[in-house]
Amino acid sequence: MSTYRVIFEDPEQPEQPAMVLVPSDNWLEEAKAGLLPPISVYWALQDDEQQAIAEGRHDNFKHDPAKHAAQWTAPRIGPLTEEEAIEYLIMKDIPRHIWSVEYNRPMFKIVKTADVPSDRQFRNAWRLAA
Amino acid sequence: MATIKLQGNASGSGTVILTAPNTNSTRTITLPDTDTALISGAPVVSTLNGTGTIALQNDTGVSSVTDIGTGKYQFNFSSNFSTATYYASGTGSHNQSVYWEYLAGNHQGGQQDNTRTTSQCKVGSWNSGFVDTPSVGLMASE
Repeated sequence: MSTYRVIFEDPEQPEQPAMVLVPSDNWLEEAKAGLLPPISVYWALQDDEQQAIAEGRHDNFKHDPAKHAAQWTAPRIGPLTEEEAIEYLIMKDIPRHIWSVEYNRPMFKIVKTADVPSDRQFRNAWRLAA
Repeated sequence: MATIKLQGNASGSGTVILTAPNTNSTRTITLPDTDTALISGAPVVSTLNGTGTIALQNDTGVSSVTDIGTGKYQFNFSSNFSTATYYASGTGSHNQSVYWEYLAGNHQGGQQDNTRTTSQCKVGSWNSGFVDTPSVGLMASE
């Protein structure tokens, strides 16, 4: 199991409680083995899909075949440490406006797994501590 | 007559080998008449424990999962599907002894997430309100 979790909030959804990103162990192994494409491959796909959503044509949206295939055909970026892989994962799986824009307080934090509360009784009240 | 062209990649240095099966028959592979990639998003088969500190149990085709809140989970895929109309079925068990724990349909919300994108799909667990569940699963393929 990964040493880390990522806790984040979405400033566009202020009523939404803090969310917790849990990395996949298999994916981390691939990252450490150097099997990932450049993050720009995923961003290109995200950009195209977000544009399709904004233009109301998501129902019959299809990725450009070359951009889609780049997930497997683009040159690999080489082995990452676990910490670098977590940073890569943030840029891949957390919406870009959360980590790429500077707000008046941090919107995400990388924490140790043991620091995430296991008591979920008040889960929907979780906030990211300053 | 249409032709078949094999094209190398100037950036790579490896060798791609097409191998024949062990057969005495003549086999024909018919290519589609469209611009497409023969590879696509890998099938996703994943389960997690949605109680306590959320943990992935089976993570085939998944790069991470997001604990969104009570009873709400989002599976993030290792690689994007080519379209957002892929098949996706979310399910989960229910941790209440008065119900059959395998009768998932009575306690689920969003069997197939209509907000799913090519890179993620949400699964929820519902019983009058969202509830955490000890076993949440997603199977997705195109």
